[in-house]
Amino acid sequence: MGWRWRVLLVLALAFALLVPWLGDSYVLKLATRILIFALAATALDLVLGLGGLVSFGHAAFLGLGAYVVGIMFLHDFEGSTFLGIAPTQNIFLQFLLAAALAGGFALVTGAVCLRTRGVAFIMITLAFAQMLFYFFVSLRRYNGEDGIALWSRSLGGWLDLEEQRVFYYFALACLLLFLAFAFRLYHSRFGRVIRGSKDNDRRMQALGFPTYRYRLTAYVLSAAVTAIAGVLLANATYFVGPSYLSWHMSGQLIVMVVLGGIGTLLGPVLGATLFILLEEFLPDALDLMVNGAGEYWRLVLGPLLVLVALFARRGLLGALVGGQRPPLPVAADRHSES
Amino acid sequence: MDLLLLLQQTLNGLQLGVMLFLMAAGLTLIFGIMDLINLAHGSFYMLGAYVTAWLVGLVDSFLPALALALLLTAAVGFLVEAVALRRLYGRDHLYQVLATFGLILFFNEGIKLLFGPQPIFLQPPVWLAGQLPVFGAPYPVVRLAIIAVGLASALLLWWLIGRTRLGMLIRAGADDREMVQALGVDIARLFGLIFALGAALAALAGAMAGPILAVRIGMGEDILILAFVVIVIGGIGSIRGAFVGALLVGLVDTYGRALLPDVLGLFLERTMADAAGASIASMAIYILMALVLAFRPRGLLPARG
Amino acid sequence: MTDEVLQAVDLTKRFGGVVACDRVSLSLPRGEIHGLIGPNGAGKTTLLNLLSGELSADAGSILLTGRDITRLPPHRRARLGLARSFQITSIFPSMSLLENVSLAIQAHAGSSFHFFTDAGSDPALVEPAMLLLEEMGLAERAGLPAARLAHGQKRVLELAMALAGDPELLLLDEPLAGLGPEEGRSMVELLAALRQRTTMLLVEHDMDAVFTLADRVTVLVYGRVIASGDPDVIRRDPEVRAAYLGEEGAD
Repeated sequence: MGWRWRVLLVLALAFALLVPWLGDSYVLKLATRILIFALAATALDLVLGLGGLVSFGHAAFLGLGAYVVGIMFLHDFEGSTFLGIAPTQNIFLQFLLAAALAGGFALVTGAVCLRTRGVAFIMITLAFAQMLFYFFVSLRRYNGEDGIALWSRSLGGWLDLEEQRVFYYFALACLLLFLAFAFRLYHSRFGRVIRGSKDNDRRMQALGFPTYRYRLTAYVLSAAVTAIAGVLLANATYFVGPSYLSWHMSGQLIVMVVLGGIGTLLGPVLGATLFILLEEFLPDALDLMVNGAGEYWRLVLGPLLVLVALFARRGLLGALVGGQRPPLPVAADRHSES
Repeated sequence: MDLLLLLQQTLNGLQLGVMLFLMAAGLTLIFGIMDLINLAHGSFYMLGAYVTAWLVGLVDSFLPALALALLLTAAVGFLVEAVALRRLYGRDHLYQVLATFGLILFFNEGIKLLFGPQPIFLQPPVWLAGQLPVFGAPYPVVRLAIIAVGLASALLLWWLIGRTRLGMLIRAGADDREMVQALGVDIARLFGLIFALGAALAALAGAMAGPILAVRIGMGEDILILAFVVIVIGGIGSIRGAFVGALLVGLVDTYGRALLPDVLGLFLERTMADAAGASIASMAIYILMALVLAFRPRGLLPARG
Repeated sequence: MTDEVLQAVDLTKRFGGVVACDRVSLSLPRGEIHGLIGPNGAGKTTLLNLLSGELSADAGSILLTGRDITRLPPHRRARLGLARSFQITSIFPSMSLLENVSLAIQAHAGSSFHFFTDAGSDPALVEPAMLLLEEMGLAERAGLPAARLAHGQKRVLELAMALAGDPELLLLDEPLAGLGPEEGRSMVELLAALRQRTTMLLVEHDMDAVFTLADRVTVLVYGRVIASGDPDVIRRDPEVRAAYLGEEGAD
């Protein structure tokens, strides 16, 4: 990796560490949101970029994580038990629960999905996510479509997560931890099997790899981490609702990954940043040009996405790296030509 | 269980089934032949409903409005394919997902801009008002008409695919795209036509749904998911599969919602049965899909090749 | 331990009404290079697919070093010592040559459920991979993305990957496909050098290569074995000549 990239990374990290001291609470909230979606997008990239599997149902995992928080909160608030178990507000336990729940759902549905490929795979992942969406909508016990409003955040042990700065650093820590893990994963034996399976699954099997097992593992792993992002999301917004499981949400996650650059370690982070900033400021920009136009900002976003799909193959990161080189991970493999 | 109610639910299931078929037929062809995943297919459904409602307001006559709406939507479909989607054939499905997702946003916002965010009402024509007795059960004429139109469309498609030159090209294209091209057929025109046909069918479904459900933004996405389930169950690229799958999904979904709360009410107390029944019913067709895939990964009636 | 590396008995495969493989039997003793020839569409690739597991046979059985592999999926057969190269080059274009071969070696180097250690610096993978690449004459290009190789070099890489697991049986599907005369000669040399390391079933259209390398030859026509045995005898067999003369000009 060139020194230029190292400098940029250090600067970005420094900036991320200083954000809470640079702006007001609005900026901090926005930055926190970016971190959370960066985590979800990076988790999605594990199957999308690394594995070449277009999962259009990742919002289901995000939503499951969020609902763990919501349900725990509600039961704790009411003083009731959930299926006989006392609710927990401890965020670490909620992480575990969310990961287990989403992982389990991914295991069962993934076992079905991963026997298909291409168009069928995309549709089936979408279908399962929709199934969960309608399930939560129909769940009147947890307010169905209206969702659950949280009066307090989860408890972080000695960390006061209500304090916006503390929560920001907590989210940042989660993201950095996962990025480190993802980096190791990409270069590990497991990562190579997943990448190989994306390139040429038939060959992988002919070499002796039972690829199905590995892809399912990646899918479950990705789901578990996305659910953790969901726990953070619920806490950040003080809200949980079925909209977190909508296919618009799944679509947004995919957009974030593609915008930034699929299969690159930091692409999804970039993409999430870009998308959320767009979401936040495009309406205002449009309002400046034509009064009242801001409400229809998706009218601009839509064609923009079409253009990206048609012309910007390697996302933002690809455009920055430039040239004819195929997208290598940001931390390039030692043996590759540089 | 009341036999009358059962009969009505069966008819409801059929009605949902034929509407799903109209959505799924075009979509399965596009998936199977062009290998293009089009998420924006639901937008044609929505366009069909909105444009028909608008034209009925102008022309004050249902059938001409409907016919014109179908033509217009087909034209939009043709345009979308030529301008945006043509370059995406053969590309990674990911970019197709991205582009068609963008199209959904565009169409939803566009409709919101033109017609406002509130749902609008599509009046069924006067001659479809009222109810008719079907085996002794009174049933809305509108719904009967939908079933009739749906079945007629299925027959028309069967004739088109099986008995015409265009249909032969479509079937050949499903089997071997390159061969058809090698034969000198203008693939671009053929694909454009298939796309426009699919759009028209979706628009027809939307226009017919208007009188029963609300005409609102995003109405296409809900039925699109169901259409996906239908296609997966029936087999990608297979019109017969789409027909069987559509009827199956329509009936299972309708029966599930109508009967499950009562069936559960035999074991559980009323409010629990209602809640559980509603929740499970909403998942019924997905469970069906998972079951079908477990035994037949390529669907019930997969297309050859 | 049995002396026969491969024993295929009465293998049959039908596609609709067409019998692609009609009761084909084949037996390969250890260390043999066995040529499989026949006109186009004779079912040679189908037979290879049946042996490697990509297709399941309608009837018949396959024994690999005495073990019944008839019902096993491709990856299990590969683990038991069966390797193949593909007619249409099947490598990993986005990875470097070293990564390609390392991956092939990884399949036989223990579990791949390792998430933390860098596979690129694992000597258990890199050293045998580099050795193999040196043997194949590709060592200087080890770091290049595989997509950048010339066609001939890709075919050699293909072979290297197939050899990675030290296979008992190597199925070669037209290794000389698309190679010029010079490259073809070096490929034949490479294959000849492998003679004692593994048993080979060689499907090829290049007759010179086949008769140079093969200890025995089997001729497949319309899915059936019409002759099998000593190459020189096969060469002179009138039925075989008829099958090929009928194809004159096509090859």
